[in-house]
Amino acid sequence: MLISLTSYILISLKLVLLSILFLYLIFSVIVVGKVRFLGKILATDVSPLLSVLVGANLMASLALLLLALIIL
Amino acid sequence: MINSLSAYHKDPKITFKDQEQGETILLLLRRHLITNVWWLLTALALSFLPVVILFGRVLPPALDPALLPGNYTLVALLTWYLFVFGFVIINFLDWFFNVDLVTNKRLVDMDYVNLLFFKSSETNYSKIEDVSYHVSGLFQVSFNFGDVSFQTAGTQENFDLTEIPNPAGVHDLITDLMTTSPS
Repeated sequence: MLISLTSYILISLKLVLLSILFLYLIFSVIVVGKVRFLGKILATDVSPLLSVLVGANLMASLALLLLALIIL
Repeated sequence: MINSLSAYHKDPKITFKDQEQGETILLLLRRHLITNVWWLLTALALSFLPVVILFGRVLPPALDPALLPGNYTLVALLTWYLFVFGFVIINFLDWFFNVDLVTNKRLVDMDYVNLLFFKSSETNYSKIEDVSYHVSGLFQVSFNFGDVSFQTAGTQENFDLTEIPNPAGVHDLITDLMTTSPS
C-alpha cells in the first residue's frame, strides 16, 4: 500500500514537472518570436545579444525537457 | 552597447520602423534604471530560495526534499532556475522595449504591454496643447525621475511618459520643439 502510494506521488510529480517544462518551452518560443518582432521595430546594437539570450533560454528549456524525459 | 542600455540616451545611433526621411532621434527614454531594482532583488531572492529549502530545513519533515529521489530533485532544481531566468528575461524585455523617442519631428511612444501585446503611438509637436511633469515621492525626488504628461488636440489620446529620468529636462526639450516645429 505504502509502495503504491509512493509510486503514485512520483508519477504525479513527473507529470507535473513535464507539463511545466512543456509550457515553458511554448513560452520560450513566444519570447523568441517577440524579440525578433521587436528587433525589427527598434533596431539597436543590443538586438543581436538579446536574440542570443532568448535563443539560449529556448535551448535550455528544450534540453531540460529532454533530460526530464530521459531521467525521470 | 552600454549607451543602448541607458534610460536617458541623447542622439542614440538607432533606427525604428516607420522612421521618416530626415527624421533624427534626439532622445531615447526608458523607465529609470532604479525602477528595475524590485525585480532584480526578487530574482536574487528566488535564486536563494532552493538553497534555503534544501539546506535550511525550513519545511516540515513530511515535505523534506531529501525524501525525493535525486533525479527528481535535480530536474525540479533546474526547472526552478529556468523559471528564474525566464522571469529576468521578461522583466528585462519589459524595460528595454518600453521606449519613448523624441525625434525632431514627433514624439513616439512604444509600449511593450506583455508578451502578446505591443502598442506604438505617436504625435506631432503641433498637436500637443499642454505639457506637464511631476516628480512625487521620496524615491522619485532622490533619483530625479518622474512622469511627463502631454495633452493632445482633438481625438488623439493623451501621452504619458512614466518614470523617466530627468523629467524637467524632457519637459524643456519638448516645449522648445513645440515652439520651433511648424504647425
